[in-house]
Formats: sequence, C-alpha cells, structure tokens
Amino acid sequence: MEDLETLLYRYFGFNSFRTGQKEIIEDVLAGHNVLGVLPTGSGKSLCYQVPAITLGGAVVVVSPLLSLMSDQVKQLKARGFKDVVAINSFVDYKERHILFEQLETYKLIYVSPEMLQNEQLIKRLKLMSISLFVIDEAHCISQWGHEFRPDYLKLNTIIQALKYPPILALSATATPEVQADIITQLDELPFNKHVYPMDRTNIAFSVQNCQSKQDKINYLEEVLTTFPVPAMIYFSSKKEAELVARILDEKLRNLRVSFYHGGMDPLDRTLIQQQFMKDQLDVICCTSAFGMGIDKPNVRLVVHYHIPTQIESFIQEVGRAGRDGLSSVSLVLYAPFDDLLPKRLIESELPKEEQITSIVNALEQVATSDQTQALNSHTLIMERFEINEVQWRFLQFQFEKHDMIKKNQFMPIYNKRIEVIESIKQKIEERNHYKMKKLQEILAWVSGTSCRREQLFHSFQTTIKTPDFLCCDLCDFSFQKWEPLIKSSQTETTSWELELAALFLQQGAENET
Amino acid sequence: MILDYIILQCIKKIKSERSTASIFHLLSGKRSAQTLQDANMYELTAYFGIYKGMHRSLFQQQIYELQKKKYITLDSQDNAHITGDGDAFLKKEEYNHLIKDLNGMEYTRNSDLLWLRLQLWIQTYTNIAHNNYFFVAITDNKEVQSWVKQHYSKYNVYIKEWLTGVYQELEYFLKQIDSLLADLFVERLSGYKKIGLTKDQLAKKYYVKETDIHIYQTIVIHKLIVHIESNYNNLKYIQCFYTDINSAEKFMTDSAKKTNRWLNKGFDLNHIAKIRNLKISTIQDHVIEIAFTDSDFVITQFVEQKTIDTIITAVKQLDTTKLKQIKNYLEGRYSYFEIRLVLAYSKTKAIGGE
Ligand SMILES: Nc1ncnc2c1ncn2[C@@H]1O[C@H](COP(=O)(O)OP(=O)(O)O)[C@@H](O)[C@H]1O
Ligand SMILES: [Zn+2]
Repeated sequence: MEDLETLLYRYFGFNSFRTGQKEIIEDVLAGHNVLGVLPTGSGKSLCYQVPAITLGGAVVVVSPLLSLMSDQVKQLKARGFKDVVAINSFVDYKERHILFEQLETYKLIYVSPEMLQNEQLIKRLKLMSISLFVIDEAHCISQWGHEFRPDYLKLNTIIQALKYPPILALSATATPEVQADIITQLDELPFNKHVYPMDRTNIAFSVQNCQSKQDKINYLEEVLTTFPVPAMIYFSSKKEAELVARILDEKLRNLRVSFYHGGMDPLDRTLIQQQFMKDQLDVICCTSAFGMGIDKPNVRLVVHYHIPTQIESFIQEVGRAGRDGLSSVSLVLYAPFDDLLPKRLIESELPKEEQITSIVNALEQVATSDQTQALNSHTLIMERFEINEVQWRFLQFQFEKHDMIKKNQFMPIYNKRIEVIESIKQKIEERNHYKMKKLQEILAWVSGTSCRREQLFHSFQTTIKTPDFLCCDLCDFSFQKWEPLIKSSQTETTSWELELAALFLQQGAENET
Repeated sequence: MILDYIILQCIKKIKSERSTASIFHLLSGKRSAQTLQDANMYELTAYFGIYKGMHRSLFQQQIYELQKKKYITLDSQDNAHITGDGDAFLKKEEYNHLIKDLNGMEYTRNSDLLWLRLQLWIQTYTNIAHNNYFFVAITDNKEVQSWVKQHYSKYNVYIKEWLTGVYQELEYFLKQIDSLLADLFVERLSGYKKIGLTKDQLAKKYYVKETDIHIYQTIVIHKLIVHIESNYNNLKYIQCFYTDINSAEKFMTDSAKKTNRWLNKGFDLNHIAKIRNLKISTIQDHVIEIAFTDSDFVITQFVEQKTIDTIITAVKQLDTTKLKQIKNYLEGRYSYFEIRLVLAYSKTKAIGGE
C-alpha cells in the first residue's frame, strides 16, 4: 500500500498532514475508537476522508450541518472522488428510494441525524460492511455541549444495531467535561483521545467598550482606516449586518465591503463567499451563517459587533483569523445593553413554558381521533402555535421520550398528561438556565480584568501557549502596537471589453492596456 | 426606473380592470389560468415572468412609490389608475429600445436556462483552461451541471478553440447593445480568478436600482436569444447553448402541443375540449403528457398543494404507483386524473441525479 503522504498528495493535492491528522488517521486505520478534538479549520474532515479511500467497506458520517455536507460532497466530487453521497431531508423521497437501493456502491455516506431514524436506511446499512462510523460535531451529543441535538442521543442504539463499527468522534469545541460526556453517551466504549489545544498563538484579543451603535461604527471606521486588512465582522442581526456594511462601504472608499447572511439568495451567497476567498472583497459584515467550511488564510481581523451566546461559538468564529500564522486580532465591541440580544436569541430556541399545556392537549386530541391528519401535524402545530423549527425539534424529542410519538404516529397518553407536561416544562427551565449560565460566562469574559487569553481557554486546556506577537488588551495589546501585513488592494476600473478578453484569456487583453 | 416604467405601462394597458396583484403575478410569471389570460388579453405577454422570484413586499413598495410620485392613484379595490403625470412619464422616458426585444411568454423558461448554462460553462472552461479543477459551481441546478459536463466530455480537447469562439461571438453581440447592458452582463460573469458581482453590488457600482438590475439582466438574455435566433447559421458556438433548450415540446405529441398552447393562453380544460372538439378525458391525457415532459409545468392549476401532499404521502406509505390501490387507500376522495397527474409530477421532480 502506498504511504499516507503519497495518498494525501494524490487525492487532495496537499504536501503534508496538519497537526493531529496523521495521528488520528493511523489510530483509525488500526481499528481503534477515536475521539478527536481539534480547532476549527485544522482539517478534521480529512481524518475520515483518507480512511474512506483506504479502508474496504463504507464510512458513514453523521453531521448536523446540511450545508456543509453538500459542500463537502461537491468538493470531493470535484476532486474525482465519486462514491460519495449525502442523505438528508433535502433529498426527496423518490430520489432517496433510489439512493437506498444502491447504497452499497458508496464508500463515503454523509447522513443527517434525522435520517438515521429511518428504518429502511438502517436496514440497508446493516447489510453493508461499515468500516468506520464518524460522528461529526460530536459535542452535540452532550447536554453540556453548546449545541445539544436530541437526535444525537439515539446514536448509541444505531451503533449497537450496526454491531459496533469503529467510531471516530470529532469536535472543535469540547471541554473536558463534554469529552467525558461524549464517551458516556457512547456506552463507555474504550476511546483513544487526541485533544489539541484551542489557543492560537498568532491572535491577540481586545475588547472595546462603546457607548452606542454610532460609537461602534466610528471605532470600526477608525480601525479599518488605519489597518485596511481583510476582516470579518460578526452580527447577530441580519438587518444590522446590512446596515453597517452600507455605512462602512460609504466611508471606507479604499476597502470593498459587503454583507452576508442566511436570508440572501443562494447564488449571491456563493458569489460573496467566493469574492472574499479570492480577495475581491476586503471586509464582510456577516451573521454566524458565514464561515462554515470557509478557509481563507489571510483574515487579519475578526470583529464581534455583537457577542455570541457562548464562549464556544466565540472561539470558533475567532478561529477564522490568521490561518496563515501571521499576526491577527480578535476585537469585541461591547456597549451597554448588549446582553439583551443574546438573551432574546436564547429564549427563541425553546418553546415557552406556557405553550406546553395547549400543545400537549392539541396533540392528545389528534392522537385520539383522526390519524390521517397526523401526517401533516408537524407543520400544522408549528403554524398554529407559532413555534419554529428548532423549538419543534426539541418538542418532538420530548414527545418521543414520553411515548407520545411512536413511528411518526401520535399516541394517546391519557392520565399521564399532567406528569408529561410538568416534565417538559422542567426540561425547558433546565435548558434555559444552562444557556443563561453560558451567556454569563462570556459576559464575564468581556468584563474581565485579567489576561483574556487565559480566561478564554482555561476551561478547555491546562496550559496556555506563549503568544507569537501580542497577547491581549489587558496584558500588552493596543492597536498602536499592531503591525499586520497590509496589502494594498487596487480597485482597477476597466471596460467590459477588457474584462471579457481577460476572462477568456484572449491575447488582446494585455496589448490593449 | 425601468421597472417603474414597465409597471406603469401594465397599469395603463390594464385600464384599471384588474387589481395591482395581477401585475405582480404577471411579472413573477405565475402560470395560473387567470394570469395567462390577462397577459394575452391586455397584450402584456412580453412582460410575463420577467421578474421571477420577486417578493410581494418589494412589488408593494414599487406601487407605493408610484403613488407617492403621483403617477398613479389606487381605488378601494386596489385597482390602479394612471394619472396625467404618469402618462407624461411614459412618454418622456426612452426605454423602448431596451424593452422591444422582451418576450416573456416565449422566453421566460429558456432564458433562465440559457443564462445559467452560459455562466457555468464560462466558469468551468476558463478554470479548466488554467488547469484549475477545484472551484465552487455558481449554480446547483443539476440539469445545467449535467449539460456542461456533457459538453465538456465532448469537446475537452478543443477548450481553447471553444473559448475563443464563444468570446468572439459574445463580444460581437455585446457591441451591438447598450453599453450599460454589456457592462452588467460581463460583471456578473464568474470565471478563473474572477467572481461575478451580486445584484446589490452591481446596483451600487452603476448607480442603478437593484430591482432594475434584474430587469436589465432579463433584457440582455432576451436580446441574446433574439440574436441567436436571427443569426442562427453564422453563430457556430453560442447557438449550441440554446438549440436543445426548446426541447420540452419536442417530446410531446402534436395534439398535446396544441393543448399546451391553449393552456398557456389561460384556457381551462373544459374550454379547450370544447374548442378542439375533443373529449375532456383526451385533454386530461394531454395534461399528463405535458406534466411528464415539461419539468417546469405547474400542476397546482389542476390540483391543490394539499392534495398533492396527501397523494404523495399515500404513495410513499403504500410504496406503489398502482392507481387503484392509491385511490382506494384515499377512500376515493381524489380522481384518477388527480392521482396520475401527481405521479407524473413527482416523477419529473425525482430525476436529475448524477
Ligand atoms: N493537510 C492539509 N494540508 C493543507 N490543507 C488542508 C489539509 N487538511 C485540510 N486542509 C484544508 O483545510 C480546510 C479546512 O478543513 P476542514 O476539514 O473543513 O476543517 P474543520 O472541519 O476542522 O474546520 C479545508 O479547505 C481543507 O481542504
Ligand atoms: Zn493576555
């Protein structure tokens, strides 16, 4: 067999492995269960893509990120790796049927956790030889993880049904507490842990207290005028991202500023993303929808115009700065009342306690009457009680737990009703409480008084590396001392004739200039 | 401004006989009998579907602005009346040379496909010419992707020749149209180390309203189609992006084709049966045939979305396509026609894999 480096070059065009990749791959190939914790952007997907090529049998990847899934499938196909498929709710049932029939022909199968509840799929998988079972974003399995996904709790039954294939659990943000919980949820199987530190030595941290929105914008303008560098600015609100992008674009004539959020049409989203990647855009005002699967090496500055709801997301987003190892900065802008927006976001993630009684009653009615209606009940309930997708996912899991939903049918619970209602309400309270606690953590960090780097990473790792450049605003950082690499971005004006010729590589293009 | 102009022209032609919503449906290309009839009756077929995917709120805003400028007034039924100022605006503005090649009813489906093919083809060939095989495709449309793939597998040894050919023909075409249109067209293209601009960015750069960018883009593509159709024999390269598009009808029987044209004029099935002196069941067969061959055919003009969902769910549960079984399972609530139509529809939606 050719060695791993040759294979890496042949299939992916990379010359060497990044930190952790080879160690994890070797462990996986040796048949061990592996828990890998590596920072975002370190190349986790390679850790199962390489085994998918070398191992006989199929590799199953469970991932909650639908968009990322199709991105990766696209990229792999672009690289000539054809035996790859994504099965999720976007695939319509006819197409799904065909996919299931030919499932054996695939070597790398991405599935969403919901799809794994499909009995037909499990039946097919059981007939196949599964050489590796990958759990991407494994922190979702833990109630203490910041993105708990109830579906993930059922993974152990599926692993059981598949007769315990080797497991690879991957995450970018798992505290020791969460790591332990991941293993508990996976039936305490023996795991080899590969945990790599989160802190990046080339990023300095800074928090700027502002008085108002206007103050934030002025500060941004000042920083970006002094340092016209590639930058990402994170917002929690789409509207505000657009607004600030427009203002900055007006004011910063030498920088190209645009915005990106989940509400834009897909083509525009691709264009903006690609422009940023190819240095056609300098500053991007975005929501957390931006950045997944993005690997731009020269982002010099990551700004949080709004703070996220927990430290874990913050670390992930900051991790998009300075992938090339050059000096980069994380800047948080904080104004009075900035804690209100994340609080509202947290509230919107779960149904209100008051809603539970009426929803349970309504379902009880469906359960005891016309079951043909039950087929469409999800959407009916979501509309009638004005609950969103995320809230419904939570409820659905609770209902299944209490045997109110079985095989997509609603079951009557009769005299257990009060008990169930109370139990769900309590769950909501617990989750809210937990999330508020997480929010308090990041708020405490923002108003901290000792080294930000230490405060940020101490719950993830025991030692903190020495920074390559500057540390944080509480130690040594100030913008006056920052010396980032600044490339002048030239905005050349040409005619369509020249542009078209250049695009089509026609000779005339150079001569005419 | 050009969108204002077009809306105003619609209002004028409709002579306050319809609400403004009908104009919204016309521009966004809703294939309902009513909209198709209106388009024909008021001679607005040119504008059919020239702004697909327009948001209702955006249209409402447009109407509001026309009102504010005192170009129109609205009555209690939401029917718009053009004012003297509005009339003057229509006379003053010179958009005729831009608008004259618009032909929505005829081109709307084809122009989307042509434009996507061109964009993806250019992106693919310019990248490959630089030996770059990794790029994020500008469209997810499977039909378009497989078209470009096929083209590539056929011509991959002639990449340079094709690039030069397409370049020359496009340049020739663009030289004949308004330079703003040419600018917008080229700026939107993506290729090797060049990512196209979004509509929002184009609007800013050229001081044009974002809504108008959309219209301009439609105009360029319609002009391109006219150009291709009238220079068919001289265009060796770009005509191939278009020739096989118009093929949905190719696979229909002549009789179904005729029914299809009547449908496009907004006639209902009974009416068509009467006009063509055929049995209604024959016309229904045509509809099924059309649904099978034309993946863009909208069946909600015959069955409600709810019915479609119910039937699909039943098919899924029974795991069969046997009509009788499905009909019985649904307790005879739906006709064979409805069930067959939904089956035909779901078949066209399921194709298009790799
Ligand atoms: N060994 C390597 N050398 C160079 N680039 C790599 C290597 N491994 C991964 N990459 C690239 O790094 C980027 C991030 O990889 P990804 O798996 O998406 O990261 P993660 O999931 O850890 O955030 C991708 O663009 C990938 O192609
Ligand atoms: Zn410090």
